[in-house]
Amino acid sequence: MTEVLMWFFALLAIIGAFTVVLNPNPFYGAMGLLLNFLSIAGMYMLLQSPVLSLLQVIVYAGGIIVFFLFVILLLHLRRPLADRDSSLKGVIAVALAVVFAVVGVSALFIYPMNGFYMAYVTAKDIGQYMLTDGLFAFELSSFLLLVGVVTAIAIVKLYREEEK
Amino acid sequence: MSELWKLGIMLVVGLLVAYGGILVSLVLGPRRPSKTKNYPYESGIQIKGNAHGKVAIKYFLVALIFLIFDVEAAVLFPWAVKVGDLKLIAAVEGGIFLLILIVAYLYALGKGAIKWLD
Amino acid sequence: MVELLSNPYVIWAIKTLIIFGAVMTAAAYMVWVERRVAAWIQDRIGPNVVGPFGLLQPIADVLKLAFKEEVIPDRVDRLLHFLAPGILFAAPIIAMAVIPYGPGLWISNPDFGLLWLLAATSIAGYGVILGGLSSGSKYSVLGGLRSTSQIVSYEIPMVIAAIGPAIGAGSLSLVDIVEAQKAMWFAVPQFIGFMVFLITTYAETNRLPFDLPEAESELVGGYHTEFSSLRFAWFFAGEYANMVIASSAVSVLFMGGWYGPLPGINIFPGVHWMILKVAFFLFLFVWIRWTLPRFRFDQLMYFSWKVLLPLALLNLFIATAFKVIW
Repeated sequence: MTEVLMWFFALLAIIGAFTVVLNPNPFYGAMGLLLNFLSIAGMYMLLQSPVLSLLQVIVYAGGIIVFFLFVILLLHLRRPLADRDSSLKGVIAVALAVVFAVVGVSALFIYPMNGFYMAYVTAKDIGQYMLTDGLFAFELSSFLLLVGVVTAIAIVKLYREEEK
Repeated sequence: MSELWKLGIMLVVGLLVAYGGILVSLVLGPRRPSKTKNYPYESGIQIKGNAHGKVAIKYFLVALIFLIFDVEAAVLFPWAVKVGDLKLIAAVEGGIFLLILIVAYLYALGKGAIKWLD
Repeated sequence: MVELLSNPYVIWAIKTLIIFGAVMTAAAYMVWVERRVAAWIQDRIGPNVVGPFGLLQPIADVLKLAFKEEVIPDRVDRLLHFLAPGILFAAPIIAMAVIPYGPGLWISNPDFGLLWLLAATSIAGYGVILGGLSSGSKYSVLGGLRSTSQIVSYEIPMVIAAIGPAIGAGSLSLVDIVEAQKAMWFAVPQFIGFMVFLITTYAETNRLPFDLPEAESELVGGYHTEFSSLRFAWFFAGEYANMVIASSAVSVLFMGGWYGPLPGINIFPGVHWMILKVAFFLFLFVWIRWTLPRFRFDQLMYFSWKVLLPLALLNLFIATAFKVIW
């Protein structure tokens, strides 16, 4: 049953990903990404990591997609986004996709999966790691968020000056 | 039956009830569309332009700051459950994390990111 | 028969049906309660024709709406228009799976219940957002835009306030959180967090004084202007179901769930305390709606970012200090 659901979520994730790339309507693109994020959350759930799964839902599905919807409205995107005549962009995109595919497939060979069984990870396990071995990364993530705030404000300032 | 399966069942039940209801009502209700009935409701005056007008950039900024604090809150949950075990160590480590974020918050506040009226 | 009733699957199914039925009935009758209380506050009579005291009114309303024509205007995005009301109505059903209503009376008790509840809340926002964006009407888009900003702005203080009980209980399981309040409710040491959480639930359910997304005097119906028939009913019922879930969440997280107010008179812990608390918060929802005026939009944003967020962070420090010293 777990395996069937795993394939189901994988299929949904791929459908979502293709919607993002192929659907000319930006709202549908955002919804495709939402489908992709939610199916990945479902896969985390099946991989015995429910905390990660729900944080994925709260941050990615509940936060980032909402942000994308704002950007779509802000940029007034009603017509198809892509100007498909630019061949250089296409070549770079295909090259990157190939690189990602190679990395992904080789990861499968380096870390072979023996079924879907993994240890159940609780919030306390993650907290334990975060406050001991992963402490530096934990504090650094806070700093990263600070950088994010500064950048966001700087970008908006540029945009506002441009409008004037 | 593990807790995850129970949650999964409720997820499916919720979606079935919600969308099943809508589909049933599609069958139950009459269907008599007409040209004027299918106009979007805009107080009866002639519709002009597209519904999706331009949006002020302050909405965008709010969404960005929301995103940053959302990530922050999400990261704090695994920390929160360990406060009782690690006591002072966890409090100090979480305090440093929060302090950096409070700096970010004050910076955003000082730069007028949350200023709504000009 | 006895064998059947001792089967754990059957017991679980019965518990699930009881909770599902109770929450849905409460949501349906909140419509009646709201109209009666509103009438009482405004010195009117309210619905009193359908059944004794108008008690059959909610059933009549749902049946009427189900048999109405589904008007789908031309400019509507049909897929998103179909999806939006369902998300808003499914979210409270999904959220109710983790809420403990009494000792042993819960559908599921995962060790991540609090996160499940918050995730369901953050997904519920999509119903409102998509409803506004899919309608192709300027009122709806404005309502959707306003609601998106409002929901995201109030989600931050809500989530941060909800971290307080997690610190206090040292667990994300809602049953553990209730058990940790046996001696003292979290509302006592974390009074600030309790108030912040309570206020944000009004914004997350789009209730007055935070009902700008559907401010009828400015935006007609806001995000649900272009919805009719059962799709409108789902938006309407979803709001009330979300209120029931929000009241349950406040009771569980801060008001000790099924435990009584004082440790001394804890002799009768049970589902009746939970029912009393949920009923009180539901009444508070109605009371506030008919007492307070609506916020202006800039006040709404200021209130979240400049008042509630600092208070939620302060509550985090208090909760941590309390846990470390205790």
